[in-house]
Amino acid sequence: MIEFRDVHKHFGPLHVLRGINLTVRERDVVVIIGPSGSGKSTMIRTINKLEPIDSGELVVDGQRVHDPGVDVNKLRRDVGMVFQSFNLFPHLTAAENVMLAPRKVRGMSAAEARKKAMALLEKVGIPEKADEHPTRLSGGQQQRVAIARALAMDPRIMLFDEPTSALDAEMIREVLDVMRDLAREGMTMLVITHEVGFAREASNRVVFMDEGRIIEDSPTAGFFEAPREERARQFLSKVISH
Amino acid sequence: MPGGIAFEFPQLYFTGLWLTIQISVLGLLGALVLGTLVAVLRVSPIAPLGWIGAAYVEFFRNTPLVALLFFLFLGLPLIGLRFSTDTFENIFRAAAVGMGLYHGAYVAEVVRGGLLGVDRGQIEAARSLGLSYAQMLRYVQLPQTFRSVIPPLGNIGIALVKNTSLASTIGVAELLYAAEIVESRTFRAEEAFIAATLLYLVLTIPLGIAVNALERRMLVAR
Amino acid sequence: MRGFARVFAFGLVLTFIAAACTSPSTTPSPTVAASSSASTRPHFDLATYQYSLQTKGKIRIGTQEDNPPFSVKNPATGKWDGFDVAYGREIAKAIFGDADDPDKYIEYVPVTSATRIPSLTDNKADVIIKTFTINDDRKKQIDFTDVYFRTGQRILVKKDNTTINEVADLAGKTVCAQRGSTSEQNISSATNNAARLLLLDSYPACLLALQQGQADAVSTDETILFGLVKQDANTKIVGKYFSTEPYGIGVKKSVGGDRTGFVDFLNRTQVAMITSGTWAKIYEQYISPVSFDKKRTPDD
Repeated sequence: MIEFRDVHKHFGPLHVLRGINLTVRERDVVVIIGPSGSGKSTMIRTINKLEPIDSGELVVDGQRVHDPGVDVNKLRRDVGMVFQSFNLFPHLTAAENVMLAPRKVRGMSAAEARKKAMALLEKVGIPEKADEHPTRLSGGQQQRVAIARALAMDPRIMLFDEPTSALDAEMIREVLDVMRDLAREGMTMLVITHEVGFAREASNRVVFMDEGRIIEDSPTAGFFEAPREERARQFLSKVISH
Repeated sequence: MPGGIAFEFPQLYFTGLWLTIQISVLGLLGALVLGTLVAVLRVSPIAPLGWIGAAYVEFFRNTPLVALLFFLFLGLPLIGLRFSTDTFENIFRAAAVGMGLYHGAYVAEVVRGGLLGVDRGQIEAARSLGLSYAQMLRYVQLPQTFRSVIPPLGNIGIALVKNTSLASTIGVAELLYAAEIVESRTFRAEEAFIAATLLYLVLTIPLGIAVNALERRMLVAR
Repeated sequence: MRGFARVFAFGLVLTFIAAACTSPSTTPSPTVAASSSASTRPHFDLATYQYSLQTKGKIRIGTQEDNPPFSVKNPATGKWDGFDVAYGREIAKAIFGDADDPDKYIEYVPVTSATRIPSLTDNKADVIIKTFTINDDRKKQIDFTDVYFRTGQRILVKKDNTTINEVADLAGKTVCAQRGSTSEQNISSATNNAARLLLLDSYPACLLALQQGQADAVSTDETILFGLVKQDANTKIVGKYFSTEPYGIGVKKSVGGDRTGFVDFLNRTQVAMITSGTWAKIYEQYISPVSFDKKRTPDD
């Protein structure tokens, strides 16, 4: 469903992606870990072309993302994204945040979009906050609205860029629960996170990145106990507390 | 009563006030539309569009308003253009267009600042949902910009109302013009100009209050 | 070629406007004046205003920057010229002596028709020499000298205009004049308010409006119209005088003796100018080239 073939990317003199090769199949839930600056975030942002790639090939859902003819807006409808800093639109209520894309991109009627938004807010567990503006919601609630917003376009792939790093500890659980349910429903997901509990419970693969390369790509089962690669082992022992 | 002279020459002062209001409203609408357009050009990812926007701002910010009004009134006919075949309609429209063009440059700078002030993350979130650049501007970036730029736009509006007095130089019978005529008829210079000043305040003070109220409402809404 | 002349004339108007905003004042240094010309200076009674001007070493003359052939400020050199300007220099000589360039003692204050009286009453100028028609209403506000120039109001149209021949023909037409002038009021009363007035800040601007069909006619004192015909030979002056315009020099009314003897002094200066032939000389220099006549006194 997603295929990276020798993908390279530079930021000025910085070589951030150094030959990425990765295949993600439908219903895969891939957790991506690695030190900061390892290129994790850049890698998943290339999937919906928030970052263009310099060379190599990237195919998403049968489309070559970097082809000049590709309709990037159409591609993005099928790829939902959730950001570390939520990025809700502050001038809109929670429901309006969820309704915006279905209405303007899909041309859905207001009533229909509202119905869909309410169903999604129900799904993420905060229907009662539908008419609040984001500033009146807690971080966990905001991130759940952001997930509902991304789901509103019925994406076939969901990208999560450190969705819980900006949250206070007591709110992490509520967001991870929503993500775990999503994984159980069969959504194809790429998740950058250091939440080992979530990875064990919900993912089937773990990718370890360092210095712009994929160092290890293993089934989740067994990875945290015995990673194949020395660098992954060191990283786990230093960064992740079990 | 200060300004009482206005009631001795109601024809001059109140038609003057009405013309001032019309030029202000049309000029302000023009400035908002043009300024927003130019600001969007300036932040656009396509470089030549950005240059066009920058050229507009530099040109109109560095042209004296009086010179611009004279150009629209007496310069455009040299290349066969006029806003109306009727002279008085022509100077009225020239004044409104001049106000819009000139203040549009200031609006553009303010709106540009507002657009750049919108968090990049929101722009990415909107684009990642499949909104086109234009849709993102229309539904995400611009609505937030207008909230943040209301106070400086209010100031531009007040400056615009005061600057309409320059329309008298091309013969528009607005408030300052009325005061000058009344002064030359009565020699009561102080009274004539105080009356005009008070009538300008009648426009600018409520405008200031309205902007403040709007600003407060927007703050509450957030 | 004419197209170029128009663009050039338009540029001139803009330059005038720009110059009006930034006109540098030529304040002469009183100490230099006193040392260099003390011997040739006239003697005045201590109580008079001319004495206090002489002591200050400066006279502020209010006139217009674009009112040919009476007063023009050259936008390139900043130098003033014209009948009213030359007349002002004679007054400066009468106060400060003629040993120096009179401009050394003159501070030019740019005025328009509308700002003439306020510049005197607000004490921004000592005299107004600017095609200033003497009338009873104005006499209530300020003092005038004896008539130093006499003319009347006529009408300027394009050469090919056949419909406007007399003031009565101005009814329903767009007529340009200077805002706040007697010309403007004369048009209204002569046409019973039937003319549509386009009121601008100067006659060169009115001429441009006429040239571009934004005005059907320009109407003001004949002598000013002479100056406009000289600028654009494609125009002509029509109709009889429909007003008489006696020009005087404007001076603030004396309050508590602050202008003692000044109007009398200016009148004596004029008599001397007429007797010596100086008046005739400046008329010939500035007015004859456009009027094609000669005069020795204002009443010739």
